[in-house]
Amino acid sequence: MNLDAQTMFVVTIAVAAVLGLLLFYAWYQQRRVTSLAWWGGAHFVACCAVWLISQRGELSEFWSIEVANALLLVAAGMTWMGARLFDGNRVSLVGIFGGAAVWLLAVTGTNLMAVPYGPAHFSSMIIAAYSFGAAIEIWRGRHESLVSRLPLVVMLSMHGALYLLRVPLAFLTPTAKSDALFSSAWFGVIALESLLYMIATAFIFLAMAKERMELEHKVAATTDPLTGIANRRAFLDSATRSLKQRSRAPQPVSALLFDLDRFKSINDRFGHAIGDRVLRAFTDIAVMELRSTDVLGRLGGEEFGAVLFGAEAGSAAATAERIRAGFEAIYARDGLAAQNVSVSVGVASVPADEDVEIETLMSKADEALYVAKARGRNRVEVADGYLARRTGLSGREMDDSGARRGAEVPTSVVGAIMSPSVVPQPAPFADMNETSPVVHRRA
Amino acid sequence: MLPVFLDLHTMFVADISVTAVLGLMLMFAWLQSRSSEALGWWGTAHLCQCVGLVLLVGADMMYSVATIKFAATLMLASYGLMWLAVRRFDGRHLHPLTASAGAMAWAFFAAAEISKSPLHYFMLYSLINGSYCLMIAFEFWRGRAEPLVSRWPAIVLLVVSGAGYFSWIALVGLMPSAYAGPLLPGPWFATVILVTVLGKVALAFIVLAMAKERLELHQRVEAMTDALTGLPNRRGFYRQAMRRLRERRPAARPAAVLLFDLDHFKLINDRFGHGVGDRVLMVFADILANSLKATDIIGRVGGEEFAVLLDDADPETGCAVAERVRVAFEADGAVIAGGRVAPTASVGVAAVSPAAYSLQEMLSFADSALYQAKASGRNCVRVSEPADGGAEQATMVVEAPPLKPVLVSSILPSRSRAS
Repeated sequence: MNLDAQTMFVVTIAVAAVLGLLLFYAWYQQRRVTSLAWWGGAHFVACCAVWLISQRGELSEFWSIEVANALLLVAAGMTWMGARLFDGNRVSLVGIFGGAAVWLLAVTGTNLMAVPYGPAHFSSMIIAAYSFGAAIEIWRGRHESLVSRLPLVVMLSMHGALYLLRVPLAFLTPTAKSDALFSSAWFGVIALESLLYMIATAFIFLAMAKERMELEHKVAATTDPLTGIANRRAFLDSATRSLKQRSRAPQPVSALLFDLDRFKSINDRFGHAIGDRVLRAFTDIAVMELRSTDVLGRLGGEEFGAVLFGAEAGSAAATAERIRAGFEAIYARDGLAAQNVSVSVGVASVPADEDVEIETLMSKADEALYVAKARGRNRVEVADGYLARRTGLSGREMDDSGARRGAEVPTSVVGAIMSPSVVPQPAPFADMNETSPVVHRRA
Repeated sequence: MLPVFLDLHTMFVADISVTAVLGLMLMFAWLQSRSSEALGWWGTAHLCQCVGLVLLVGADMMYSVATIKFAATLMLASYGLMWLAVRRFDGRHLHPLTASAGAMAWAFFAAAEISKSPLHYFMLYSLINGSYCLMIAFEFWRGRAEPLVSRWPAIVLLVVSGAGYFSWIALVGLMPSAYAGPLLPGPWFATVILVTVLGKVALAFIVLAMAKERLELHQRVEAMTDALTGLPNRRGFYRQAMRRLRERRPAARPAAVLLFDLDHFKLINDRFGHGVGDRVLMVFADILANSLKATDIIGRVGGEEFAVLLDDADPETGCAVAERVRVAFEADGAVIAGGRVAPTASVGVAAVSPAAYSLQEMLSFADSALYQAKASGRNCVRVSEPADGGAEQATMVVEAPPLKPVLVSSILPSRSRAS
């Protein structure tokens, strides 16, 4: 490829300057992503370096070779530093200027200049090292899932590989004489690659920075800030998605609906700070007891939901019971004067061969939860969909025959949760009579 | 200093490879997030342009006039595609006819050999190209209601490009000798290409930024919106209210904060299920949204708690609005679930000069008033008017009946349970 060197220099300088400006503008809009400024700066420094190289013959060799190469290395160092900063690592000036310093020392202190291609090859190797270093930094941050991470890793690695290849290739094809440096085929390849590499990386840097902002908002939109677990919307979305996948690989599924007992009164008596601590403590226990494939979310003030895949009614109720008991235990141990800190759980299950919508499953769990509340709270109840369907009664209308419902609970759990001898009447509005409006002013 | 002479051949190689890379990058970005369809269109436009450029170089080497005309048709079509991309971006109808009109007009002019002078072709090409730049800028401008920071740079860049193309017309029109070549213009054409390459890079960069900004904006709005009612959530309400209070003039009249709390909401949920509870919330949110002005700031700030900021409202206005909402909710709520629910709301109103109090303080005044409303039997409006320094507020809270935690614990069934 015979490209006119001066034309390529002009194009590269102009494109680098424009991209530097654009990256700076992007940084100006999103000041928090300081990496954008480093990457923009790297483009400007590279722009200066290429200008110095293009002035070979006009300027002294010190400027057009030593300074120009050193600046190219600084630009590579800045790109690497931007990658480090992007994932929250510290800036290190040694890292940025180290490559340039080592190269300058080697050129002035040793007889590297006398070796054919010596300085150029040494600087190629340093650039390759910086590129691989930047690729590693971006790769290490992959737990933050940004779609542009992988393309950037590939791009940086390819750039590094090309510069590494330059060394053996130059010896294998020793056609270019040093005085015809700019007209060699290798120059064409490097010049064009540099130009395209600059454009491509600038695009990916920008995309990645914007993706991070998007991700931050997305996390804010789907996470409950207090407990860090999914909020209602995210819980329903993710449960719906998982239920859809289940239709391909049938397995039983269960929903647990938790409601912390008399939470309002905890808040009123001990203040919101204690209330928040109770919510977090519950979340910790639930997270501990559930598997990573289960879906957990905070549905409302003191209401939590979980969907357990591959769990039939018995094991789901056992999990629910472990969470209930664990939650009761920490406060008993804690000595916090809140003996009333407990949770009621409603469990609903469908067998592997039955399709179900999340709304149906949750409303069945809701019915079971209602029974748990009516029977004195701090207990687990399992909804029996079959029974309700056979008799044509809804869960609520069955409450009076709650004892029967209790009998449907799998025996393994029933053994643990004794039914009270007297089933309290389902009178949820009883709370209104129990407390003065003042105590329950947010009831 | 820039060298005066740029090699046209090298410039074409650079242009072709840059255009191809831009096209591929945009297509790749589109593949990664399929919802950003405009990126796909914009990328396709670049690839189309790339083919046109390759043909143009080939035609110049082979001295083929027909190929040059075809290449130019492709390049004009690519601008039509960009125009479609922006229409798609802002969700407007795609008009394939308008998009291809430029390329077709050019093709007709070229096929019918209306002129023999390459000068005329150059001028027509620049005219069509410049027009498309302005049309694309116009489309971006029309969508300016969506606050994307990169919209304005894109508009500026396109207007400058359009003006650039029109100035070429003026240049070769006034100085025909400047058009030196037999097919393509003289050596200065390389400089023109350089400028278009830069414009292309910058524009593609900005378009990518815009597409990403839209995704970001979407998530930001989601993060500040309550999924159930569609009203701003607590975060959204605070953000909007703070901004409003910051932006209003200091001499303005008092602002009112209304705090609504649905009565016995937890019991409604327990008794009728969450479906009915959600329905109640939605009915209330609808009333709130419909009985307030578009400039009032609304939000669902808690499970069953809603807040309103009325700009420029004295206590009387605040109470009137609150009462209107309360009455409407009592009426509309009565039909939910066959009338068995009959939900109501209590309201606390605080109207103060925002110069003297922060939003937080205003909300806590309204909260005290709400407390009073709950204490006086719910389903009513209470107002708090701090005399100065909120001293009266303190009195009101003290006057309220003290909390009786004993009562709560005493009614709990004492039961020991094996786990």
